[in-house]
Amino acid sequence: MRSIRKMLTHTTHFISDIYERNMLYCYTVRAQQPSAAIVSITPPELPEHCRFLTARDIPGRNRVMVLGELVPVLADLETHYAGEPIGLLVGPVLRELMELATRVEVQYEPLPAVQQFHPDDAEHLQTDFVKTVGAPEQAMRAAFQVVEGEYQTEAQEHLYSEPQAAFVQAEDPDRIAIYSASQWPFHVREAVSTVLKIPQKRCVVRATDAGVALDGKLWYPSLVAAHAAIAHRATGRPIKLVYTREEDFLNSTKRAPSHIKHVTGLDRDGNLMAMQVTITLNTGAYPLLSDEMLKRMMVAACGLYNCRNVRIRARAVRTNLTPMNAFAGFGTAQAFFAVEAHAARISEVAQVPPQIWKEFNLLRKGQTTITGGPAKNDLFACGAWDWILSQSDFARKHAAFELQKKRRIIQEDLRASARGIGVAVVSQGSGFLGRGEEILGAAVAVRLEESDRAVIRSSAIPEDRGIQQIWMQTVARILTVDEAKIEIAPVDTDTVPDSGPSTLSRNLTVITHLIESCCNAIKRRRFRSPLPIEVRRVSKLSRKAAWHNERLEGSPFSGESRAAAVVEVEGDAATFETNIRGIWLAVDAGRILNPEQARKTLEMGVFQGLGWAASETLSYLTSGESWIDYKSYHPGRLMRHPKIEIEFFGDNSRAAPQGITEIAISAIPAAYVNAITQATGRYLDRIPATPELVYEYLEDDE
Amino acid sequence: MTVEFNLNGKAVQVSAASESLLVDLLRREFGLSGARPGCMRGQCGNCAVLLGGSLTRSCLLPVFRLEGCEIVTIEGFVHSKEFTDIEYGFERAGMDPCRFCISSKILVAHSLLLTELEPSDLDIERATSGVWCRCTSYSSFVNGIRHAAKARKRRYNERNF
Amino acid sequence: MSAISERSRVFVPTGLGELLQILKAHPDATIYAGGTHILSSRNTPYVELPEKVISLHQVEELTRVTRTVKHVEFGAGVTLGRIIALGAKALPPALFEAIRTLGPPGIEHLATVGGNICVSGRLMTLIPILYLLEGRVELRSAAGSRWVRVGRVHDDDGRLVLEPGEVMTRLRITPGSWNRQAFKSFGTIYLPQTNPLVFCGLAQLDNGVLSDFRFAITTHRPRMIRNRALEAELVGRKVPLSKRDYEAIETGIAGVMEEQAIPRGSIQGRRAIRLTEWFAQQLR
Repeated sequence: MRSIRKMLTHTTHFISDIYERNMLYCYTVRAQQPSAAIVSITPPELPEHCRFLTARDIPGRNRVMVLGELVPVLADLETHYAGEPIGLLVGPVLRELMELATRVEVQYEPLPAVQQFHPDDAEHLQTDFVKTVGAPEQAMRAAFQVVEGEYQTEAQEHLYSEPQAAFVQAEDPDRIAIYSASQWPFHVREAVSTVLKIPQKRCVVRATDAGVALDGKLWYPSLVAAHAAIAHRATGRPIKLVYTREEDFLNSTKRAPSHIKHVTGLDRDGNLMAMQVTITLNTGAYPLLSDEMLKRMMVAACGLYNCRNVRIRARAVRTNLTPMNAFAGFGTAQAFFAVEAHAARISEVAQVPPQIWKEFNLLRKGQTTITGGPAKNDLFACGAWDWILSQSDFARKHAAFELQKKRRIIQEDLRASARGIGVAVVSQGSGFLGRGEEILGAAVAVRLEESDRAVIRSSAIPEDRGIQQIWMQTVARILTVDEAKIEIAPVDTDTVPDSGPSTLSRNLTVITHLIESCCNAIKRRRFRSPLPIEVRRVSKLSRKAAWHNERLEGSPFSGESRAAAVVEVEGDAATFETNIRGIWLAVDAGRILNPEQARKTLEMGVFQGLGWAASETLSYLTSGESWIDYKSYHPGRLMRHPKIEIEFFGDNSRAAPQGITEIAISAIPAAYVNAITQATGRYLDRIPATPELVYEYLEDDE
Repeated sequence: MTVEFNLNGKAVQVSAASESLLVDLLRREFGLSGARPGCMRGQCGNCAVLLGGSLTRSCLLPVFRLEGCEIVTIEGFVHSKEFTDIEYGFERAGMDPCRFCISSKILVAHSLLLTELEPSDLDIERATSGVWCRCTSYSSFVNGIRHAAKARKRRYNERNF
Repeated sequence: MSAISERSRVFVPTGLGELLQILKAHPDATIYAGGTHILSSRNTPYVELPEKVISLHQVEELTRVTRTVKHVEFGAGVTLGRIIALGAKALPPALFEAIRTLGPPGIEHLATVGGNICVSGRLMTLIPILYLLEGRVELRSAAGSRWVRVGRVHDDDGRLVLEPGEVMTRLRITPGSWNRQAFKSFGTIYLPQTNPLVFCGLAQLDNGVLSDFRFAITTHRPRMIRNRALEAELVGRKVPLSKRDYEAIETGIAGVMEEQAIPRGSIQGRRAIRLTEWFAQQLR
């Protein structure tokens, strides 16, 4: 663990800390209309020291590509969301630029705008995937009873450490250096080189501290860097572009909202016969990453349940909102919320306690998943399921709270509170789907030097110190060198290989594996070849990892972790607020390289999941007003110091480490909402389940 | 306007437009970047400094407010004995905050311990709600404060002994 | 950057006399106490101060706290942090809770009690509890001074009733000896979309009888919500209150909320009713 004092005594870490002589600021001018043709853009009279740039000032291509989809750098002919960048103001005083921006006159011809998300909006359908397993229609007809439910999740702000920012300056006469907190530095390089129409070798990207990014800095920093680069090209001066937090809240990407409909056929005993799932994802104005997200959601759509007759439809719908994005999990959290909330509803309709229902319907190790591959693990054999039920006393509490619910009378004593307990079971797949890793071609290099000093070179951006420690411990263990002599090279696209985006737990799985592979190769050569020895490895999947990305068949991920979560709540009948009394999380993630760090990561995930499920609201996205309820983002208000118990299961000795960054975010919301459902006696089917929403549901039935 | 105030123990003078905020002045005029511009509305807590020894948000301090004041930023605070309590507490708890919010977390912890050496759960919850960041596990922050409190009590007892 | 452009003229008086003279000469100047309201509620990404600003932070007379047998007085410039530092035992619990939960940590050392009272257009968090504690504010100008009840500092549209050249200098409250107190707040007063609500209740029980009972509610609307008739009806009742009393509470609260165009079926309306009922249930 690094020293607190050392962290403070270092100076420049963030782009907002950079000050260079001769530096200019860049401020983004944004569209005020959600959907319109741009007739003209007229800046105010500018002082001599300021410039206004539009799409016409872009020397290269006016687009940033993200896994095959594009987003304009500066809108020129049309705007597709309020807040879309349409121009850049450049000058020495940021405040002056902000004032000038309010005086830029834009003439629009409004076009029809879609701001409310409609799951059946065929006109704005972007993508439509279908997967069928078995004979779902037939099985549904034969079902004893059918349970339906529609589940909605709202957008979530990433709330990364530093708001979006970029700094660009000339390095040599014909090179530029870009400072960016991107999770994907080589993507920034590619974006800037395309926009400026210069070879990539004339751009170098240097990573600044990304803090906790949660995929909010996956591709958007490339857009911001492109803006700064355009300003640099136009002025020849160092350019600093830093969003205010408010600007970031209002204009940067969010977790994509979703609407998921479940129709489930049950047999007489309440067990699964058929599942029909319709997923609709609101991609905002540009459907970036939607393919990967939708397919991952399809893989997760039926949860970890055993059902041989399944039809899943997944669609992306464009709306005139800020482009949506992945958020730790690429959509699987939305899918698990829906299926686990639905599972609670099924168990109630079937009149079977939820834990019993799950025991009958969850896949066991070796059984076939909906993608046709075998379930590699389950939570039963490793003991995770038994642990979580006994630690949380789930069975007894659930039964007791059910009795309370049934006995509750109107005009109850307001001092008494309603209690509930909910459970959810989820998984997390590491890395991109199927052969995505090979397509990305992630590379890592390790170098062993004469003084037994080792250097890890990778463009991967570690999300925390724990990952860095894991890498260093891996090198230390295999090469038997002192950890203090291991260095992780600063991320600089001139000097490190392209390791792909730091997302989907790739740092823990893919990058760690590549480091291991490099070290093993060095170890084999160590005493035969002179030092220094440097080995570079590129990710490859084994032939056994067969995955058909169109049919969604085979093994989708190189590895998978699983978890069960239980949340116990108490509702306040006077205020409609929900207090959390306890959280339990049982995780099977293979080999845990750093248990202490793993616990912290999971706990952070618990809070991120709770924020999404309970309080964080972004109503301004659809209201058109620019207000932010900052209070809803204070983490401490969610809990009154309840217990969070976390335990690890599974084969710790031999199995490869699996990602866990997203697993709590996936598990906690459904468990939380299921607990509130029990406490209130109303089927909560949306998040965030704010007190206002709880009240609305209580009133609906009265 | 020109104002004179005490910054990290030194008398300083700054000339700026009256609406200039301390959070910007610190980094622009004095090269002190520990207090971070965030929401600029006093909500996120990332711009924390000490004003007359008390925790304050530097994004809510315009320059005219500074005349005659005593400001301590994290860069000054690290040289104090009080910092060593927090340093000990955070490291003992295994905290690993990101560099963006660490200054604020340290000053928030210090501010709480100024008034309460045995903070209750509620005290800590209120204090920690003042810093936005997804970077730290909540329980390690809470434990960090508790360990820091013990360290401070120990130091006070040693001093009095 | 070349010259520093001054968009605003800022006065920093060092005494009450100087403050009043400046105000007399510039009655259109904006009073700047802690600045938390002016800076955090602005509509622009940059700070834009009013044309003329008078900062109170160096007026020592406004930072005094005095206590008599019956009253406590705070200078308008006393920060909320200073009030909290007096300790929970020195203040009525509901007031202490209101101040403690007012904003995120760090705000309290800037925000002042005068600043919380004298916001035009809305009733800030402390208004209802100060009102229930028989709060009175001193308004002074170069011409003289007057005392006004906290509930009368704003007109029915929420505008401050201060005359040109007047400034709030003191707040006086009567802590009393209430043996039941409650304070709860929801939402953010600046954002009606968050359904803001502040509920304060004070009750005095003597030998199982409710000898005094007061409550006050504020929302994003400009008027404070009270129901004296309901209070009068409940005073003298034995506790626990009867079912009929609760019906009266529900009807009474719903009525005054609806006068403020807040339907009983809205979350604000329901919270107001349920919180009053909940407070009444504490009276045992």
